[in-house]
Amino acid sequence: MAIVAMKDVTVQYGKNVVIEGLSLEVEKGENLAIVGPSSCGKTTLMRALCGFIKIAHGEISITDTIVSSPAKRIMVAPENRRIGVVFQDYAVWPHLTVIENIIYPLKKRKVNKVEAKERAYAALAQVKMSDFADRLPSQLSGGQQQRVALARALVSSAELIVLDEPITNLDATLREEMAYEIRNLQKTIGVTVIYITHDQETAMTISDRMVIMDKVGKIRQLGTPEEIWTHPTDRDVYTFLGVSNFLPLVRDREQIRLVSKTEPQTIGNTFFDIPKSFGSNLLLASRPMDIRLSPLTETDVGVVRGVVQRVTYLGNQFDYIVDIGGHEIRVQEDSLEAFRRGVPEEGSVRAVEFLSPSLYEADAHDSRFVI
Amino acid sequence: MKYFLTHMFQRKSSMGDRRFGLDQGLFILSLVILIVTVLFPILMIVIRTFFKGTQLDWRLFTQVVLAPENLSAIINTVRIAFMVTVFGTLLGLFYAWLIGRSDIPLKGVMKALFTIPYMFPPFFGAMAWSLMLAPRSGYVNKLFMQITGGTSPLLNINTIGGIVFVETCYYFPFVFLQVVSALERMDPTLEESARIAGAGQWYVIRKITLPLVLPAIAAGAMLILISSLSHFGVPAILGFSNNIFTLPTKIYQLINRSAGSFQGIREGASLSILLVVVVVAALYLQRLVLKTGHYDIIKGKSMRPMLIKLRGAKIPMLSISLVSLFVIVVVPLFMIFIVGFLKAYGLPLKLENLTMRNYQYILGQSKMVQDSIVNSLFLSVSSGIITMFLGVMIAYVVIKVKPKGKGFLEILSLLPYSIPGIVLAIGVILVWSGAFGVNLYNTIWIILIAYIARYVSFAMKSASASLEQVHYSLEEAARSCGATHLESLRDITLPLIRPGMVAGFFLIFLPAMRELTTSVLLYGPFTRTLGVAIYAINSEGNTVQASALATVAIGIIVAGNLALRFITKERKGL
Repeated sequence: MAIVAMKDVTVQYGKNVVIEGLSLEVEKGENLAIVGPSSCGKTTLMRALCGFIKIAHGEISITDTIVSSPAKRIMVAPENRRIGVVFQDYAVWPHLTVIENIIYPLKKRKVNKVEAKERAYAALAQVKMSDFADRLPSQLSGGQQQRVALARALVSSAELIVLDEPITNLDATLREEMAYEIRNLQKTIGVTVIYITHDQETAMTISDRMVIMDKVGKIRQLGTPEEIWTHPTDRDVYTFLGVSNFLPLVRDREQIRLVSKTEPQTIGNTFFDIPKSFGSNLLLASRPMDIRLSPLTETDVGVVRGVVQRVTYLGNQFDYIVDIGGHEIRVQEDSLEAFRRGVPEEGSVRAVEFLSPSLYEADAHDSRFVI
Repeated sequence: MKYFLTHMFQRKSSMGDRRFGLDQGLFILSLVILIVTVLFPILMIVIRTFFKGTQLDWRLFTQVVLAPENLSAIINTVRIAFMVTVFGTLLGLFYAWLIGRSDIPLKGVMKALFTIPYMFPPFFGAMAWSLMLAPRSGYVNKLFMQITGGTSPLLNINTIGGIVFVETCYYFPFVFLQVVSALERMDPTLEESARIAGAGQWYVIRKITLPLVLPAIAAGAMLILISSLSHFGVPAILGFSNNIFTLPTKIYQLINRSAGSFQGIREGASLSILLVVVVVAALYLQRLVLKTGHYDIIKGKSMRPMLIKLRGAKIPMLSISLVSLFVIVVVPLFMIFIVGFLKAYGLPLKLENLTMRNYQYILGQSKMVQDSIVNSLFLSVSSGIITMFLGVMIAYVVIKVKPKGKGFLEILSLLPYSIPGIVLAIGVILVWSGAFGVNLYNTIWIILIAYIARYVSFAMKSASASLEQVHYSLEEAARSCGATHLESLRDITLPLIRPGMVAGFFLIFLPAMRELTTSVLLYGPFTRTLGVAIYAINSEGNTVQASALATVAIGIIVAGNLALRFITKERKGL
């Protein structure tokens, strides 16, 4: 059952359209990450959902109740939407103590005092902040304020929590710890979490499903982290997910040639099943860790050859820059593996093997991926 | 009233999106209040000057402007303001350089002394200097005549020179404070690299330091110019007896002489327009000057500047500045204080001539004085509270709601800043003495309205500063926790800006407590304010009682300032 349903939502500030015709359903109890580059409209989407801004077109409903619909002249006030929100800057009220911060939503929901206190302390225990109940926010670190904000959101709504870039301001270790805790809390309490971030790595570690948004506020891909990582829908999503290499290819009847500035090279087409609809210009996409370099042997015919331009030792891995027919690609190799197989020298020619490449149609943004 | 109106707007919005209703309500309410208190008076001045009934009529204006006595008032005003600006700027620059760039000792003491002229109204200074340098009766002049045996006084304070001197004493801190803060924020390496390149000390001051602080000097000088142009107290006390008039005192005289007759008020309004034109011209000049000199080299960070060693000049410089500060700041206050205890004005300043009788009279017997203290306290407190809330509301609309007419609202709220107090008073008379069916003339409410219009700019600026610190997510967090818009304002925003609001209250309370310019045109038989009472007693010739009452006012102002300092300190500790 969908707890949040957005249908054809458009948001605009004046004439500036931030989100256009976006549709999205959030399942009850899931952790959905909305990921996209900064200023892509993620936060705008959150603010529209929470009722802080009006939508220009479309419809938003929460648990089957329409909360925003300009056509039906419905605009439920933020206080009546029952969404717990954790803001990017925490928004812990500096003039109230930690426990007063957490009791506030219960006070507004007219929960009786004894029960409110009990529930607030319980939430505080959930985020491991019981010892700080009577502190003022100015006496807490960023990570601790974050927890207070999370506890307040949990108390505010046991159904739906929206977190807006909640852990970007924390340092790396705290971020990891916090991400794990959010995941854990969500599993134990069963609350639905919408997690907004520009950091695709954290999103992958904590979410059940991910939504990838692009710069103009459109959804590019929706799916589980595995689906998205292994099958990025297009070149942009592929690039967004991590360091990527793209090699231009040309299909010439049965042969696939590398577009090359030096000597022509062909790529064996055995593992490609190219759809008929694709044009003749293609792109081969691969991650640095999924490329293997090996010494050339006499018998190698038809393998792709590259010149190792630069070798950098990074401790746990080696980083190579390899020139293939005038295109520079990045290759990474596990250090142990590299030592075992022999570290290539700068300037040497190697056979280049792509382990699980993706193939995209060039010049078309919505081209489907194939393997 | 406020809540009733906002409630009404909530009801009106059918969609239940109360946020938009409340915000709209606040916007319209702010707009209406500002239009009524600020815009109406100004418009009424223009209308009454240029229209007779519904007929356009330029004659009154040209007739008033071209009257020889008014022409001489215009010339005096500009002359005085020009000289005060020149001398005040030079004096301010001198002290600013000494404190900001030289190794002169006792900087802390001097800086503290500079804040004193800020606290007290210039007309206290005029009274004090008149006690010393009035041509026949001033103590210093009498001493001089005793010594020389002649009949000609040493100096006559009742001249244009005297007015310029007293105003300069009170307005030079404008330039001083601006320049000192610019010097403190300036990157000292700019000067040091010039020295390293082989430039001499004097050359560096002329070619590097001075050009860099020029915008600060210009800003301070313009503040002096505008303040002096619209200043009433000093020329009123020092100039009337010698028939020296400036535009503000001429306006006062016109209204006062006509005893509230319509023709008199119309003539006053015409002169007011002239005064506004002069002030606006000055403001325009300021924009021109400031536009040409904008440097980003002055940073917000404070750095330790290279101090210039005064060496042999140290002791002479120190004595010059300490003595001059002492004369400018301490002596006048002391004179007022001591004369307040004299049995009669003119008696030698000896112990046996001192008495408490003046205080007994003004605080115990004079109904007028008691009324004035009560009135001023009531007016300062109520205008402080009302204006502060009004300022918060306007600042909230401008900063948080950002409606379409936000720029207009902002301009309206900052307009009184550049409108001379005496002009505002005339506008308030024109609006609130029956023209729109409400006659508040001679009541305390007309003064309250004028104070609100006069101080709304202060309140708005101070509230804006604290509201900008409150991030919008704090309010939205409350909304998503189930608070209505009104509740989020009450529970979150208002408590967060409360320290700023208290400080803002005092920033209105203190000047309102000593206000003279506006109230002197608006007071009725029972609605004198403290400033008006002191002024009136002084012009009746009861110098000792006026001094005693001024001492009481000084006491209240000092107490208020201490409270303000205490509160702002608390706030920093939070």
